[in-house]
Amino acid sequence: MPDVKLVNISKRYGKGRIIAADKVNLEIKDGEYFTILGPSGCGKSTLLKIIAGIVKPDEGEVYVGGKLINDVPIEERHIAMVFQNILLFPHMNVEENIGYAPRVKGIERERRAKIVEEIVSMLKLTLRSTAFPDELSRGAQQKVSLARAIASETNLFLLDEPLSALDSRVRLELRYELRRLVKELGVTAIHVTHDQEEAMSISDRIAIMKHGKIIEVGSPVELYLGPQTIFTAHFLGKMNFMEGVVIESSGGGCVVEVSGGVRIRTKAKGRFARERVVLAIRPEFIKLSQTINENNKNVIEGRIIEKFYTGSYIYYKVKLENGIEVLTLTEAEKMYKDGDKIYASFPPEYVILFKYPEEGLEKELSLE
Amino acid sequence: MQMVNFFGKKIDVRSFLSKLFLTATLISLGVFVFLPTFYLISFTFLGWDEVYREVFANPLIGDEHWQQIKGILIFSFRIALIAVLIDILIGIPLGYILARKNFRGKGVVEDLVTLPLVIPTSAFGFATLITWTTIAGIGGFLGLGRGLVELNYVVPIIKIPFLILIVHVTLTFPYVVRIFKSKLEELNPEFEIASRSLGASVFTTFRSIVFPQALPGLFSGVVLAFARSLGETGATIIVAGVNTTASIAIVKWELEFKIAPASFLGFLLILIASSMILPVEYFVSRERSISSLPNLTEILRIEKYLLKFEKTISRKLYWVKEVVSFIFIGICVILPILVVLNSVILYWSADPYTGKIEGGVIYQLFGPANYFKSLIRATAVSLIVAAVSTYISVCIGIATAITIEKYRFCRAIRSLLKVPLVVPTSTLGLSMILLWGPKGLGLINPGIWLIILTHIVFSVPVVVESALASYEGSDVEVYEEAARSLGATPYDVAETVTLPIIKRGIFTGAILSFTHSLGETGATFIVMGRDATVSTLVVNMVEALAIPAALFASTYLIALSLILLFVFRKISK
Ligand SMILES: Nc1ncnc2c1ncn2[C@@H]1O[C@H](COP(=O)(O)OP(=O)(O)OP(=O)(O)O)[C@@H](O)[C@H]1O
Ligand SMILES: [Mg+2]
Repeated sequence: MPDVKLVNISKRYGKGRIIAADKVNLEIKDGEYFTILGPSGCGKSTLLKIIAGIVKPDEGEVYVGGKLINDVPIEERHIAMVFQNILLFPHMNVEENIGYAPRVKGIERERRAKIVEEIVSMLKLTLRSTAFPDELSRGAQQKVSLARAIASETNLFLLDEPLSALDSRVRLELRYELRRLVKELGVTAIHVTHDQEEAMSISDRIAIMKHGKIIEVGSPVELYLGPQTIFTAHFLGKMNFMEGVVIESSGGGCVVEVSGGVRIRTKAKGRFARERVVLAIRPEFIKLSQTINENNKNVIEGRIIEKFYTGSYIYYKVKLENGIEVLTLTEAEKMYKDGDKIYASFPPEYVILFKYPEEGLEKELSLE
Repeated sequence: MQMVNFFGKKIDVRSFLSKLFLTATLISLGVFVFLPTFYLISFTFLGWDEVYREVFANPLIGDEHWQQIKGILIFSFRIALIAVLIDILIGIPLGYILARKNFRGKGVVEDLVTLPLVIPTSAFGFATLITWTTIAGIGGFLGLGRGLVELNYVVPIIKIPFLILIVHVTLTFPYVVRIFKSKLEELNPEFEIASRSLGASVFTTFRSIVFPQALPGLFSGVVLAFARSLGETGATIIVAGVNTTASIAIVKWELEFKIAPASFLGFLLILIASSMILPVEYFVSRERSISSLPNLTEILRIEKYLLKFEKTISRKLYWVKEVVSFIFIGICVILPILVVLNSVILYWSADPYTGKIEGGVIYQLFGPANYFKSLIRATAVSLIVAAVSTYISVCIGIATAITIEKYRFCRAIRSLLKVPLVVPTSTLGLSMILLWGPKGLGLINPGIWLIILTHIVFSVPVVVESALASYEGSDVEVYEEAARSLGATPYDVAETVTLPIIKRGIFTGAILSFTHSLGETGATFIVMGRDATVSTLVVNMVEALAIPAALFASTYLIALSLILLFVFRKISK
């Protein structure tokens, strides 16, 4: 029932100078785990606050379950919020915090205790219910605040960077817990974050946001493998970019010439000759080998100039013969040394092309 | 740093100096602040035989004095209690509005709330008096041809004289508003959003989230307001009519040389004030004090109805708090001032109703009575007293604040310093005269020096409290440590880091004690001898029925306090 629809939402701050939301249109389906992802200051929180009723939009409509709710006050929107700075009521203990929503609904003490108990066991909280928030770790606090939100028995969850204030191990753990709960309860969740890994791992769909605008919406796989914009390609995961010009285009793909006259063949279609493009490929799709392999396409010679371990994988930075540096990712069993001569192959099916941005590649890649 | 002393022993200069500093601070605190505050207690015990004879077993009137004291105490407590209840009713919404809402003219409203703290109370009492009881006030505006109420009009049911209640509420509500407001400002407003997102209406959120967390602030404000009401003299003496409150009784008895009943009444007031403030201080400083309070509405099983009620008022009656607050400020603070200004113009050259020039301001000021000269002289006395007592209080206050922060065992001083703040000032005046005056040590006769000493007693706590507040408000300790790690000595640190950071707090405290000193009446009356201050002069004028002169003096004092308010605002911004 709680599908959320934003129509032409705009919001400006500071006498109109700061655009926090710019004609946003968004549809979130019932039961979906939806994430709004974008760099700091792009207006994610503002969007969430508009849905919650904390901020009034300058223009546009908010529909929940098909009903226009622009003028409904927060307390009647039946939403549950989880905040980055947790906001457990400091003068109430764990039990009172969790039981707050039932209490303000007028539910009697005995029934309330039952509700609290149920949620506690569902979340597997092993806390003293008489403990006060400041006696708990941040992770435990956020779990309690999640429990508090669940106790309000609403089916729209709004989560504003709920994991950002936690340390990385707890963050990972709670990430899956969040998704499990949302799915178990069958509620709709809108989650705001600037952490792309977090967004990729828990969302059904992600909306990429920049400068108050929604750039692109799609499932994590769609966005990762087939981004429609340079910004998305850049913001989700790692990506190598090269400027180039299409010199040949046919039904099966096209050939792009990048700097140094190096030609790269791709399966990308719909480009026309002499078009300026940006060519992109993810590090894990670039194949490295020390010998020339007949099966490999688009092979360019280069040298290893740097490497970074991540445990099971190694990133190599390769300087190609045309002077361009690319980042590659290989399994840790293949070890190269700095300065090793290497052949890098760019499989045509993984080479993506974008139209060359009007304001230049640099500007497009900046996160501001 | 080491030094060899006369006996050839090596001593550490630094630790010697800091011990010296500590001792000097404690001694001056003891002599200037605590001794006068608590002297009356020992005086009453030492002279118990005489007190007993006078109060309980007077050969002529038996225990008449005791009966009077009982009546007066009960009367004063009833007033203070009702005044504080009204303060709470007005202070909570007003504090909330000032802390949470932004609107044009907010600064003006804040100033109007501070004004009663700055205005000399006798001038304010006089303004209230003519506003309500004379044709120059509300009655005249309404065309009644007389004042709106009689001087001795008693409010039915609560049985408290109307005018006394009005001045007490107006002079005490700023404490509740200001302290409650600053407590609210410390609270993250996002808690309120969290609560509302969980389904609580604005009012329910206020009751269950905001209010409990701001409760300690409300407590401190209420205690100060209560104490201030108990001790209020300047305005009360003007509007009291036939009634006698505890602090007026002390002034009267002292002037009639009835020392025994006066000191016994003062003794009781000090005991009551301390026994009120110390438990509250303890409660407020305890951790989780709020959470330990029982939830009354759930025990009474009215929570459900309350929630419904709160939902309705959140939706429909949210504007009531604004309207009530602003009407209150309009009637109780702005109106009296306007009436006084208006009247002083009306009465400038002659009485507007009889046409006699003897009833005009000019004649009274410069005619045979020559109130102008008294006014100039009183202004000089007031300014000297305020300046000197503020200066000394700032010196003692800074030393005390540093001592309290540096030495753990001095923390208790902070709570003890609340006692002089809540001791009724007339009691304090009595204590001063019994201690230093001819009947005590015989060191200082009533007059300007004794006034200064008296004002120091209540000024030091004010300076210390605001210095500590600004010390705790900024992370001074971090900077101090940084300075120490860079090689600064403790004295360098105090001079280059601590003092500059808490400078603003000290300024605020200094301004508050300066204005307090200008406006103080109760204690000054007792200790001034022939050196009248401006605020006591207003009382004398009213008692001599020199109304036009009193009008002028009040206008003058109000103008003075508006200037001080302006300075206060410049500094505290
Ligand atoms: N109340 C406000 N007044 C003025 N400007 C605001 C206000 N709230 C947000 N802004 C501005 O609007 C823009 C968007 O803010 P918002 O908080 O929505 O961003 P965000 O994407 O959530 O950022 P973050 O990752 O830092 O939380 C920012 O530039 C911010 O400075
Ligand atoms: Mg944000």
